[in-house]
Amino acid sequence: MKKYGLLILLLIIVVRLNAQSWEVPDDKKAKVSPVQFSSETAKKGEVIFLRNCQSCHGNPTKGNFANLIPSPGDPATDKFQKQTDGALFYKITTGRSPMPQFKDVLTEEERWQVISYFRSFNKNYVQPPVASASKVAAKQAALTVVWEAASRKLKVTASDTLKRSLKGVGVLLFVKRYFGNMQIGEEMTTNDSGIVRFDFPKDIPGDKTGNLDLIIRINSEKGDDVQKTVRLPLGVIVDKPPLTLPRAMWNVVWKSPVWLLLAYFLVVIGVWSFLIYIIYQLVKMKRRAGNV
Amino acid sequence: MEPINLSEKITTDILRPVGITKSFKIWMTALLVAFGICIYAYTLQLRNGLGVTGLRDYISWGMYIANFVFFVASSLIGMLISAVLGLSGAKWITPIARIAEIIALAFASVAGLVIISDMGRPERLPNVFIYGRIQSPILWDVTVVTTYVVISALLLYLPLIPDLAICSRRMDTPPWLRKIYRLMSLGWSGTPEQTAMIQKCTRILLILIVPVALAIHTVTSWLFAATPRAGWNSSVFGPYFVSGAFVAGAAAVIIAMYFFRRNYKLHDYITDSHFDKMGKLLVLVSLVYLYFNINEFLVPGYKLEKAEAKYLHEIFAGRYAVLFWSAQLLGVIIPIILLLIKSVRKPLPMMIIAAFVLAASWIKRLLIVVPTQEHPFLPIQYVPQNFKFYTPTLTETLITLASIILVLIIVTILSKFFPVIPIEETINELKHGDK
Repeated sequence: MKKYGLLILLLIIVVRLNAQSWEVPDDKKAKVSPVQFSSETAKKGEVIFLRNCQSCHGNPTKGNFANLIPSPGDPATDKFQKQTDGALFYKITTGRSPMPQFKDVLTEEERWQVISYFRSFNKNYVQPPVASASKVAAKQAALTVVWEAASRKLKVTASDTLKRSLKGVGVLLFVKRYFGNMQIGEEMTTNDSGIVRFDFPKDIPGDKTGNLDLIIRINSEKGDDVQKTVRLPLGVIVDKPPLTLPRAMWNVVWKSPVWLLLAYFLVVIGVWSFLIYIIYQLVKMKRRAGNV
Repeated sequence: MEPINLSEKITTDILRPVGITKSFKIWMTALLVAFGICIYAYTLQLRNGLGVTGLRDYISWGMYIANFVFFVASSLIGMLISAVLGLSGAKWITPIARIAEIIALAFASVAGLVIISDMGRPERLPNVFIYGRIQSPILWDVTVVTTYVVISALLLYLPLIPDLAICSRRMDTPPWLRKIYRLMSLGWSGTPEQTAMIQKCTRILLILIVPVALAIHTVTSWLFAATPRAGWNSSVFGPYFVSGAFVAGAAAVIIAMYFFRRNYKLHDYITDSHFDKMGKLLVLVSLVYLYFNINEFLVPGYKLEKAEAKYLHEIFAGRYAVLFWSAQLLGVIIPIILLLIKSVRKPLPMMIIAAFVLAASWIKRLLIVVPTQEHPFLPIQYVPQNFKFYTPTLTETLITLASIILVLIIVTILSKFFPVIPIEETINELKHGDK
């Protein structure tokens, strides 16, 4: 009996610990920002924070975060400030229930700007040396996209301004959806000719003509991401009449069902015509009495 | 007694309490002070938003909406007494018809304000009309409540016109008040033409008010029944609400009858026989209401479908069991049994029973509105503990109280400046009785 008790106690402790701790791999913890934090980056981060994070985390220093389990916490407190930039970056990127992942919502540059905003509340914070210059200064990169219909592959060529191919660069592919971007495949690295080829699925619903908006992105270590959007007819043609076309109960008011409009207005006009008649009679009575 | 003397006596008796008396001043001051305190609570809500109430994301309808439903319910009695009983030729309602109309008008006109108190941003009210959807029961409710207020006001006013002419001729009334009476009497002199017109128009209103009154509370029930939620998803909600409304309204009228009779010394007009008949009426409407209660709770209680089961358990044996069973027993079953006894159908015991019935009606509305929202189909999660259950705050209670006080103020003013018993009609009926 005692043994079981101990076991249960242990189990509870393990569960509680699991609920509280959020493990970050050591290499991710050590990651440093490629961007030099400044008041400017902090300001940009604030805009992003207010749009994406405030609803749960509240306003930093105010402690008005939502009362959720696990607690979101206030970014200005030690709970956040004692973590490395890398750890914060990892957590923003991957998320955990109920915190969403921001991998596909915010670019790497934007995520670093949010961290820069957090650090602006910490007087003692000293930014570690900015990550060493990456293999590519992404701002100078140009992307060309070619659809290879025979093999159903999307060929992306990365080159610099002098049209020299960029090799060993990480490229990501997304399809724009209603509520965010859907990543296609994994991040791929360009070959010696600066080329990557993405397998493209057949079954992604497109618009009336099958068009999809593709986003090709190079995540630069320096934070100056390069992104290109192209519209290609790679999706399944979806040409359904819009749901808002016919008259229906759930449609806008001028597309409400005819029977409803008739019923409502006939009843209202019917009842009120009697009321107006009665008021008219009263007015008439008053007038006649006045004449006498 | 000579008929002329008799009509003079009636006029004097009925008009005796009309006018500004000392007791009226004291009572009104007390009401206004209480109202002022409650209005202060409302300024807190205006400044800080609905956060000062117990309303949160999941339970967003609480005491205010329950109170609204209660007010709409209580106002239905005007239709039952004036129209249903009046058109069927029941003569005994003459002295209480106006009381019923006053109650109907007071409750119906404040009901709209109660809805505004449930809005965190009342200045956005015009948006309901600008962006209102004709498909929504909310728009129908706004329409039908407005129409009912107008019909009730007219139905109170039309039979009052001859009495207003009598009032304007009274010498002991202050001149400014006499002027108002004269203005409002629209030059009434009792010509056959005028009499015919008033009778015709009153008759139109009496017929019109029946469907409109049924609509007002049926549509109010649809605000709930049109949503597929456990506890609201019911096809008997319309008649269930209407039958409950008659119970609440009849109780309100009995209480009003008791105090008007006592304070205004109208024992000769509101007699024990009126109480006896109102008692029987209350039994009748309570039995209909009981029948709908059985339908409303037995059928889902027999099936115990998953979502309904959780909600019903809370009501029958859980958090709300005490409230629910005391409302059903003290507000419906015991009153029915007691009022079947002839000796109980006397003014004082009936007033006490009616007070229980009215309080239970109010609680019952709260039980219709709140528990359902605490049991949505998707679980309530990731929210603070106080989001899961509804507990009204003091501020919210005071604001609700404000609406009840406002009803009392309106009833007081209407009954103080206008005769609560129709003078002309009472005299006419006595004359006809003599023949």
